[in-house]
Amino acid sequence: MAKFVMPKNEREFRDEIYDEKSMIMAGGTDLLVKMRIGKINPSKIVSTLRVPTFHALGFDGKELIIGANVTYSELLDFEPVKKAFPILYDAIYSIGSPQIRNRATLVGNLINASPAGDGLLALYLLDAKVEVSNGKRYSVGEFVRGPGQTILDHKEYVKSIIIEKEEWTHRYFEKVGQRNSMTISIASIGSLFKIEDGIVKEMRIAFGSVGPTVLRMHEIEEFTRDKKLDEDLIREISMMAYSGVKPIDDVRGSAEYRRRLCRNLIYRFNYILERS
Amino acid sequence: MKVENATMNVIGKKIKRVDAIEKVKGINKFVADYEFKNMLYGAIVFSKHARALVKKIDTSKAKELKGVKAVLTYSDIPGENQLGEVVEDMPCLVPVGKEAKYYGDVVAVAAAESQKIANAAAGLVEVEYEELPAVLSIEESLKNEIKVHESGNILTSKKIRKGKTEEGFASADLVIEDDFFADYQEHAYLETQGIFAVPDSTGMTIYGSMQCPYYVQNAVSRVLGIPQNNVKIVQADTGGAFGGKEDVPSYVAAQCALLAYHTKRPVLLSYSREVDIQFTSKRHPIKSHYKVGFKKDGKIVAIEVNAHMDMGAYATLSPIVMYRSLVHAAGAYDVPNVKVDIDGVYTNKVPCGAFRGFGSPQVLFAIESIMDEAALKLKIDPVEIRLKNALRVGSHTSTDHLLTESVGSVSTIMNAVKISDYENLKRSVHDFNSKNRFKKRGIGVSHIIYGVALGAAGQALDAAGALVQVHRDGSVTVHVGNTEMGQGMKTVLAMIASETLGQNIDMIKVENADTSYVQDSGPTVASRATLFSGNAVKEACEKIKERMISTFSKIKNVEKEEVVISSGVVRGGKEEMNFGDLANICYSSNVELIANGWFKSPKLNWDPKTGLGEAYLTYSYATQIVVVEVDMLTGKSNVIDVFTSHDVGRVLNPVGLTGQVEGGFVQGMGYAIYEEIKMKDGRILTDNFNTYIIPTINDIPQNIKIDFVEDEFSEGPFGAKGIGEPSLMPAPAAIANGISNAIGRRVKKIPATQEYVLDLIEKGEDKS
Ligand SMILES: Cc1cc2nc3c(=O)[nH]c(=O)nc-3n(C[C@H](O)[C@H](O)[C@H](O)COP(=O)(O)OP(=O)(O)OC[C@H]3O[C@@H](n4cnc5c(N)ncnc54)[C@H](O)[C@@H]3O)c2cc1C
Repeated sequence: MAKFVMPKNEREFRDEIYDEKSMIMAGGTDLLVKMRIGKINPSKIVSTLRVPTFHALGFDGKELIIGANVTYSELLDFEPVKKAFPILYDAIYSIGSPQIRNRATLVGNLINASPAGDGLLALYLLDAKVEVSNGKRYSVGEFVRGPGQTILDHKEYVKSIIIEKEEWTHRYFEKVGQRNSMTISIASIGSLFKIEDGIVKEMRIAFGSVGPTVLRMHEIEEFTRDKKLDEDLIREISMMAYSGVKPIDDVRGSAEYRRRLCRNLIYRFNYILERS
Repeated sequence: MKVENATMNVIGKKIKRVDAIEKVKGINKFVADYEFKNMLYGAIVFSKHARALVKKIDTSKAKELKGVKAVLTYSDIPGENQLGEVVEDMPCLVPVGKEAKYYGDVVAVAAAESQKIANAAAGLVEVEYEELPAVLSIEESLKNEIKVHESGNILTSKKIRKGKTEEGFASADLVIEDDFFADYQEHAYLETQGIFAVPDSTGMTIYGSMQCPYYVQNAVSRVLGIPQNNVKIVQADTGGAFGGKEDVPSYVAAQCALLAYHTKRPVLLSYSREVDIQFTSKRHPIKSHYKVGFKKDGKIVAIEVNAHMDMGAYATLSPIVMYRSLVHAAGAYDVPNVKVDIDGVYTNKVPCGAFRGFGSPQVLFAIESIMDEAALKLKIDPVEIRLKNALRVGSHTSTDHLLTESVGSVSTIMNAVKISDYENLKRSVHDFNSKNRFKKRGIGVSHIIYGVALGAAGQALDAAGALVQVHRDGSVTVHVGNTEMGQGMKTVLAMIASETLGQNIDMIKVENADTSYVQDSGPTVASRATLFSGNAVKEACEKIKERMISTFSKIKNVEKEEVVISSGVVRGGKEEMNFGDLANICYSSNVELIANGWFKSPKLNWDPKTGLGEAYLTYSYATQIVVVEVDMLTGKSNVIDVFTSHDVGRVLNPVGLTGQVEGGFVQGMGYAIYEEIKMKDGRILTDNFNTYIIPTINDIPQNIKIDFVEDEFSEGPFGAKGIGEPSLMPAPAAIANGISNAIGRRVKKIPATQEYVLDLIEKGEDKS
């Protein structure tokens, strides 16, 4: 049986995680599931809950700071998230259930580094930065190394996530799961647009669950620059998505289904077309 | 039609569940909540091979572990190493020298001071296997090259031969022929399987989560080799069953009883969800080939069905499940020529068994799909074509059963049309589709028949008893042999007792089943508890009431005929007395206030050679109309509206009834579009609810409109028939038809998962 500790500040926290077989727990919604099936077996669990600095949540008009113990529910209730980072709001709103969102954290989602991580997809799209205990800041792309892998060393931890505000005219997020909630993405798509007079000035696009990590598709982002958003462009992007994603078969869906989903979801940009 | 006294005090009223408060508060106890002094925890050892010869079992390492009290194998079984209700093909523990026939076959059991130690001990049991090639599909099984059992892969075949189908097809204007497949479904009851075996000086008491205590009694007595009066079974509060706790608790109890027998200590064996899904029964996959002939006007002239069901590694209840598939294969229609052949085949996979509907939703899905296809081809409305063929009083069912009463089928069709405002519904769906590019809606209709109780094939078990006792203070204890598992049986039986005795319902307590009180009352399955136990309770209550009235008439000097007991008050002439006071007087004058009731199925005539005769005591009918929205880009379906009408004979408790229909619909919807058992080499991959997907509150349609048709059944308590299973039956077919209607392609497989549906949309063909 693992020992459970709740340090009261970061200094104590650092001491507690020093142990080789200790593991950090935020909401525990990934950690406890893995412990139950015997995938991990820590001798000590160190909670982030009582560390005041991990509850930081603020927006100064430029940067959004999200501490290590900020839950999804807290983010959904934080007005600036909805107003200035609506794509993050959309992604988070699709996660689990109210019970899960009351406990689970965005930092936990980041460190879990699953290609199906819905919060993680938004972080990729928003070019979020990760502040690590070694004092450095990394981009999400640098931070995540592969499925379940990050650059974190043992004894290192994430203090917060920082997202800079940018103006986007349109956005799209959709997650395709096996049911309407409490579901893991079979494929997901997130996209941000700056459209002026029907011309795509800039766009970002990312797919979840169709590769070893969340996939930002820079080819599409480059390809669409300064092009008119119309049905032809949508068709072309959808083909690029189809051939660009790298899904595998698993218990939730086949690789081929995932590839088709990515292709088809691009057609939802028609909604943006109708509105722009 | 029997006309009961028109004024009822309780029957037909909205009555709150009698066990609601304790369940909402969480104070009632499920079996895993029980605690006994010196208790141990059990664990089981799976073969983990689809098919393998057991060459050697070494338990020494497991036994050495501190805290382990027993590690048992086949050689530790004092009685017979034999389980299985119908066919004797299933061991309790697989012996050395025999084949383990599926991944979840059990080779050993362990008991220890904690669950953790017991699990560790199970992991330390060393079994030497010789892996053998396995049969993993119906097709492979039919080749009969690898035999699951020496006797061959087809265990039994059943058939119907009514009229001459060849002649029927010759006269048809349209013949539709197609293949359908309905896959597994897992029961997904909230509470996993669990048994507590508590030994005493002569035998033991078994507490557990179960539907059929008498099956459990039989199995435990047999495996331990002790007489049935030394094996007392007491049902614990049961957190859902759906058929999954019909026969399976007998196996769990046998494993657990063995551990208690050898350790002489109470043992709790409570399955984890993964063990439960891997080991326990499922709804049978059925592949069926249908050929149906129609006249231009939509009238069916002939039906031919050829179906195969995947029984898995052991027969368990399959032969009787097949009987229901057989009888329901041709649907709810009056058809002159019917030919049905069904085979049950063995595979090296999880044994399938009872599941709400018992082999019928699979075939109802097929025939109802064909009805819609025919309507499309003949340009007749789907409702119209069903009306044209519906059963009525005077019709003969597909087994040639002449229907003489309580046939509400046509009324359910008319009722569903009315509550759905069908013509406007069609218009609104059309409108939606013309406005939406990526989402399309479709209307699905289904109309079903459902045989109530065990039917001709199960007549030998179709009886039920009750023991009712009025206490000195007028409170009442009701014992029955059927079980409450969440369906609301206790409430409806309390209502029947209350109505019959005239005592208030809050003074009536219905106990959990206990084999030492009531004679074997058959299984609590087949939508039979209200009908069978209900009648038994009614009879027992009538006997007691008669004695109470007699006593009252004597002491008050009024005519018996003048005495009325209702709402806890006894009245006669100008005299009036509380029910409790009269009970007290009866006690003081040594009047017996305990009585038995017994209800048995009237004899049903049935010829198994032709499959013709009175298949069931009576039938329930239902019609359902749904609107399904399909996302044409992802293949995902959402059910938007449901309109469903059921003929239940008589509405006893409107609240419980509505609850059953809503729950049945949702479970049927899960089966139709979400729930998928995925396997690899015979191992179930989807062994928990993160991968086995059941509907959540966000998947349930906002609009479920339910209405009832009351066409009373003279043998039913106050005219009632069953609803437990009929509530699910129309859903898979209606939803599949709704999807087909939305996408313009025929769904031929359930679950119609989003991947399957997108395939249909994009390729226009069935991938499987
Ligand atoms: C029922 C259910 C539904 C779910 N639905 C979704 C869904 O829809 N979408 C989705 O993306 N995910 C889903 N998840 C997964 C999970 O909820 C998310 O990944 C969640 O964000 C994890 O956050 P947490 O706070 O619970 O992390 P935890 O489990 O506490 O931690 C996750 C990992 O991060 C490590 N860790 C935590 N904090 C730190 C830190 N500060 N520094 C270093 N390491 C740290 C932990 O050691 C652990 O390895 C679901 C999970 C469940 C159980």
